[in-house]
Amino acid sequence: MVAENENQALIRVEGLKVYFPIIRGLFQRKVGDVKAVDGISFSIYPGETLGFVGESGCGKTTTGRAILRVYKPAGGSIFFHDQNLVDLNREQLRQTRRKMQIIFQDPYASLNQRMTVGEIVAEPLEIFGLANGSARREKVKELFDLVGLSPSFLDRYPHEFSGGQRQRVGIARALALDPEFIVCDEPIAALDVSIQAQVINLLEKLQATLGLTYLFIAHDLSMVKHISNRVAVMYLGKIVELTGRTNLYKNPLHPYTQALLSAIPIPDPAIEATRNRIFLEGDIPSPANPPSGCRFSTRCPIVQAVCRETEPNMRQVGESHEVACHFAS
Amino acid sequence: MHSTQKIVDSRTEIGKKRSLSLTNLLEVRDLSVEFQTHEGIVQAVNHISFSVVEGETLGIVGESGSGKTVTMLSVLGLLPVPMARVSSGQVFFMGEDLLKLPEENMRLVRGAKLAMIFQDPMTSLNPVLPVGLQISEAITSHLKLTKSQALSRTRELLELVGIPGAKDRLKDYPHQFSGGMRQRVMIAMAVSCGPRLLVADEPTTALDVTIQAQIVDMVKRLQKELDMAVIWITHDLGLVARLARRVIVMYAGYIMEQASVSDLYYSPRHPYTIGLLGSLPRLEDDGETMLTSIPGQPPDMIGLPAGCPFLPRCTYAVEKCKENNPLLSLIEPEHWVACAEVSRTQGAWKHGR
Repeated sequence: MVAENENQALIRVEGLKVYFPIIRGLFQRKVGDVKAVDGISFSIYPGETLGFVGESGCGKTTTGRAILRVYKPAGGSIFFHDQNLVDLNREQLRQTRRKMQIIFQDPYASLNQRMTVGEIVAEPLEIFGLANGSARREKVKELFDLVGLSPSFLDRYPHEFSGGQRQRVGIARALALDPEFIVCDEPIAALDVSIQAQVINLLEKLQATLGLTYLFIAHDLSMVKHISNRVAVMYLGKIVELTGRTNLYKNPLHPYTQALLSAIPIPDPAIEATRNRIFLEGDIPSPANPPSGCRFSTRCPIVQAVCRETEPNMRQVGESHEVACHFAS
Repeated sequence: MHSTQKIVDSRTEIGKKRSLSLTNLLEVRDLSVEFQTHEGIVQAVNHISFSVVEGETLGIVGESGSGKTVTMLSVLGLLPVPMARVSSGQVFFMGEDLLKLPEENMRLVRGAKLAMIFQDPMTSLNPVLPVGLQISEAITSHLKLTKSQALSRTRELLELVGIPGAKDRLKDYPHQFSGGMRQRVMIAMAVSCGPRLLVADEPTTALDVTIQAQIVDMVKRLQKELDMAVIWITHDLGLVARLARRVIVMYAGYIMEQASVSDLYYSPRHPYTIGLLGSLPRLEDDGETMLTSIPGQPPDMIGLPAGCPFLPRCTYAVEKCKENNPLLSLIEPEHWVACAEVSRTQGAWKHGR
């Protein structure tokens, strides 16, 4: 089990906000903001996997990218080893990023098709001037071996590989600089079912052997449960519930988490036939114009008058279980 | 429901050949489809046979390239010609071989008695026409209705598929709807003439799980109200467990296993099905156990080897699998498996009932 001591956190995010401007008209005036992430706080401890789940547009990918400082936050702080990434200048950031990497969702779009896979994996080493010449090639071969690709593939191009193999190339590249922390941004969403399990098993094996810390972003709740130690559920730019994986699935407290769990198809016809399903009405509201009060109030099955006026804060409801709902207990 | 009754009534208007109805609504026999590509001929579908009876739900499960969509496109006569070609087989729908039907006659069947919904509703709808017009076009091309009758039918259909404020949305364009609402529009269009068979090709794959639950629930309700059969194509074994009575598992253009849902999920016998089910994380698991993944890569569909197409990834493979591609054979009532070593897979799957 991962020790939950505030001081030991590898990543500590406080009140993170990421806004994207809405620009309209002839004079390209800013008319508002899409509040993709709107004030979230959490910590990630060394060696653990924190899962982020939520539906499209909830801000989970934006959160992952903001931690790597791909976006400049509109507010809040991101501590990596007690260093606030928001304050760093370009060069400091570049050096810090060596320790933080990302694996992308789409292995078809994220690999440069004009480079050989060997060059793709070697590129981070080249950028940081690490391991030259034959040493670099050796290092790349090692990385290929680590992710289960034959080093004889080194001089081939991405189009010669299947989706699962390409994702392994993406993982090898992320590992090239010996990172401590990796953002896995829906790494299996574009893969076939039989290949998904291969990639998940690989990620787990790498975490165990290299002591990696993951932020695992996905919309597939059953896979998130499988790989994560703790899970954060996001809705419309906010974390609505955050707790250990077993607790989340056994004792979900937020009505959105409950609905999300009840909507997952389970590969067991007897369970499917007898399950109670919570149907949510309508669609997710636009993050450019979120509802007042609780953001889930427009779809919540247990909504009360207070929910439309006052936004609930995250509060502790038992050991390492936080929820943002007026009525959850 | 009022509008449902109208849809059912309209069937008599279209369904002239209904008296011919056999026990099987759809019967596919020995169907093969090949694609001509630059690299060579792709055998996308290989000698598959299956049937659908009135009102039932059949699930077709497979990964990308397994031939599940191509199979249904050839049933509907929507294969991209001249690239694709049906190289063998027959497709009987309500007693008629659709593959022999001239295109004009096929157009009377497609959309009226046989309808299909697709994965991506945005690319299936015309972006420059209001949705009301698109749906009423589908209606007037099959039923003898005036413009105003068709419009009021369109409004009823939009209400039927649960679009709030339906009468105010007829003039809206597809981009003004969310993904889930667009899929509802597609479904309204598909059921507008009261089809006997609805083919749903991964209609919820692009949608979020809570929206998926709404759509699945709605299709199940429509199926009951309109008394139609549904073929649901998906890669999601969980979804099939919720929807179907019978399931077909496809791989490399072949049917690997065909069974009732309970047989398939509780006593799967093909090594591929067993592998697929093992690849899925289970909500009730503690997460400490590794997933049992299927080794290797999906097959290269150009120049499949002579033997079993699953051989390179199969943990049960023996020497004879290299030479003979096993035929689909009956191992128990309603349970078909294409595996030479099927006797060894008994009890291989541990998740009981």
